[in-house]
Amino acid sequence: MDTLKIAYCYHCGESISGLDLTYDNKHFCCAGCRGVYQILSENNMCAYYSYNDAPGSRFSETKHLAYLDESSIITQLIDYKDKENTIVSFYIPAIHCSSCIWLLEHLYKIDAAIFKSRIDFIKKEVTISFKHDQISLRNLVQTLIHVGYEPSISLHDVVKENSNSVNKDLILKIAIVGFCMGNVMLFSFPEYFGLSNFEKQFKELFAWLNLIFCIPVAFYGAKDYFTSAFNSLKHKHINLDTPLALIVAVLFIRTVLSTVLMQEIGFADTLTGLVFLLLMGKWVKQRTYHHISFDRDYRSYFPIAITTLENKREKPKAINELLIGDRLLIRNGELVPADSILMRGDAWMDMSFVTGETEPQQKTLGEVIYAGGKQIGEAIEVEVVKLASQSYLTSLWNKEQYTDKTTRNFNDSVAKYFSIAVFAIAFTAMGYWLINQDTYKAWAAFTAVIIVACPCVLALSTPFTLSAILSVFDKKGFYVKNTDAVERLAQCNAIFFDKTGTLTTTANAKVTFVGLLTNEEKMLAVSLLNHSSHPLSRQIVNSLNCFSFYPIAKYKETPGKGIKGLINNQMVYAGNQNLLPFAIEPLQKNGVHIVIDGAYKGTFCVEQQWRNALSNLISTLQKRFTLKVLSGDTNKDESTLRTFFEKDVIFKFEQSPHQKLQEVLAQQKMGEKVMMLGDGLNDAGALKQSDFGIALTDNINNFTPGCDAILKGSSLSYLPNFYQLSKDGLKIIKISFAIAIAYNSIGLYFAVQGTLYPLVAAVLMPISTITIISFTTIATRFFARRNQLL
Amino acid sequence: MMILYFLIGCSILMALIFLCAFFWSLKDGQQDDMVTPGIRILFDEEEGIPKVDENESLKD
Repeated sequence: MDTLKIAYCYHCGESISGLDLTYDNKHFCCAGCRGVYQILSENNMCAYYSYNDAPGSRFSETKHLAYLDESSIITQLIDYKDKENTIVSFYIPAIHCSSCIWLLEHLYKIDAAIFKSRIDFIKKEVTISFKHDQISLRNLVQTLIHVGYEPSISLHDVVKENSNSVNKDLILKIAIVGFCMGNVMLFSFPEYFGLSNFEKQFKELFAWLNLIFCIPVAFYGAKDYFTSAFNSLKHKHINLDTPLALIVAVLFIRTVLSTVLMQEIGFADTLTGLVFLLLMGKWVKQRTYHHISFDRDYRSYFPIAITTLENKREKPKAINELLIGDRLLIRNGELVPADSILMRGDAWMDMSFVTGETEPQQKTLGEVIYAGGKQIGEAIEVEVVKLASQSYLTSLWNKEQYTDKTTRNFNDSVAKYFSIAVFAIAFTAMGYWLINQDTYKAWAAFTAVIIVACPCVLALSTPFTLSAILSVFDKKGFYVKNTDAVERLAQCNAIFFDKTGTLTTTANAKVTFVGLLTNEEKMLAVSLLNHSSHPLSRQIVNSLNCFSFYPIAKYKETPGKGIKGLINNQMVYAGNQNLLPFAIEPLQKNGVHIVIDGAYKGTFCVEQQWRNALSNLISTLQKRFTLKVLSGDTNKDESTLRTFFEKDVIFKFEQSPHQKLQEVLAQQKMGEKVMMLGDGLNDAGALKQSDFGIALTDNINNFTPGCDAILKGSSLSYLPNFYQLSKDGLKIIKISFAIAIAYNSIGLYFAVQGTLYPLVAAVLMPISTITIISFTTIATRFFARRNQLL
Repeated sequence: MMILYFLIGCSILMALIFLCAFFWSLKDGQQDDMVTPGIRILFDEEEGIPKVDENESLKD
């Protein structure tokens, strides 16, 4: 009876239990980790281990890569191909440290055909250039898997969207406008300080130069404002861009006229400064999270290809090319990509993707299996009855009923009144001077009022405040998609919860044992369970705190059923009833039954654990929101749930994804703004329909359904604080609007008299901008601290 | 003081050159990844220097 001491795997750092594999005097937890080390040491790449301790990640089972030989699939995946070379990019979720960068950028040491590999650490993306005559794409992916970096190749990769180009365009604009602004400021300085007689000869030159620099600013930099203003006028409403476009136009025309007619410096400095600040505000707003994707749909979950059977021969086929009537071979752990009928085999479907139900369901021959089901067990054959793009699951995304989420924000609703007020003042001033027979002053006053009453502060305070809030949220593990979403968050007055994975956590489940085990028997059970990577086994092993194990022989894992093995000459079984060699009378129906040496010992029940501080959270939220729980699961936990929620809170169980969506829709019809918290694909429709959809996750790199925000499970208790801060944010925007109006009234005082000098305008604008930006930053920090978020 | 006309021209030209250099770097993708190069520079170049063919790396 030999027990093993605890040690840590040299490759992945996990504690070694049970099997201890050694190589080069180093310990490994599994053959996979040892295999990676072997490959690296043979290729003289052990530097991988010197940058970080145990940088590897645990090995997953081998995948079927035959589809990577299909030329139609290859062309969809690669970025570039010429006669000799191919360039391909992969998303590799395992990238996490500098060792990963080192290893993946030294792939040429393993295979010389891979001549260049570059990593983008933030995006977790590797771009590999290789000679396709010497190594196939399939072998390349195989090599990556062998060194422990399996690329994630999903259907989503095929439909690549180029989101970066928008940002690049904006940066280009900022660069050009910034360049023009700098030069205009330079040529305006002499004017600010007053020109001596001798310098007057340059005045004309400076004026013309300024005009030239204004042209790209007005026509290229501010182009978007003109198009947006034009569009909104066509639809007969006024957004914030309308007055902004008007101001840019007025500034430009006045600059042109004063330069051409009077050879005087116009408002070039104000114009370029304004456009520059506006673009900066836009840039701050366009904050992106490279490591998180908010717009995932079913395509991110689906593989890109599946094995089809044609005349009893296996042939990989891309999922978007599947036809009705195709025979598919679904192996253990593979997803059913389209609604199909079971034709052969013992199907155990894990439908947790679709319904949230955690127990696998058995399907009988001829039964319809919906897309998204994951087979657990032996390989099955199914026949496609609906195209992948039309299946039950994908119809969640293709629904037309999704309302446009771009509700009018504070800015746009104010813009209308603001514009009317500005025009009223401008025309009054012009009328006054016309009555007094002063045409020049009438013109000057009219344009000056429009210039001074610039809502640029309004256009800036919103992005600056909201993006400051976003970065506060960020630090607490709450990743909001964009600044508009923050405004929507503040408007919510109803919260719907999903149960599994949202109110409960998958990370630390509560394990109870029904029956009786002696210490010796416990050791036997743990030694067996420790060999399995099934989540249930891991949860049981973790809960038992056993650190020494017996060696095991004849280990066998039957997917979907359980595991068995010979330990100390006793046959030990752990799994559900289908695995056991004889029928038993279980003490608990669902759970992991333990049979040792032919005798039933009891059952491990794994219960989901409620998230920390749930009752505090619920009681805080109850005061301000309408709450509802929508669960895809059965009502087995209803009594426990009741202890958290008040009596009038409605629980709905056994809800299909479509029912959840309808529930959200019904609440919205009642005029409420709904916040939905969910985690799985079964919530995807509801998340999308809700006014603010939050996907909850315990690991930020895991797949989450499309949503407005991603929240780390550990930060759920901060939800009321997040909500409060978003509300405070709107308050800050309103205060800064008041400050801006105060500044504008000073400017207006000069403007209506027709005595606004370009200098005053040029000084007033930056001062008010700086005030607003520093105000929003300080105020956001103040409120964040008050809400205990800093 | 006529020299000032020349100097003003020079200053604009210089600024234009810098602007173009920025465009180049933007197009080249230098601004795409701000993190990885910082980590990459810390790696030791042990034994054989990577056999990256200069012509190859220029291709893309």
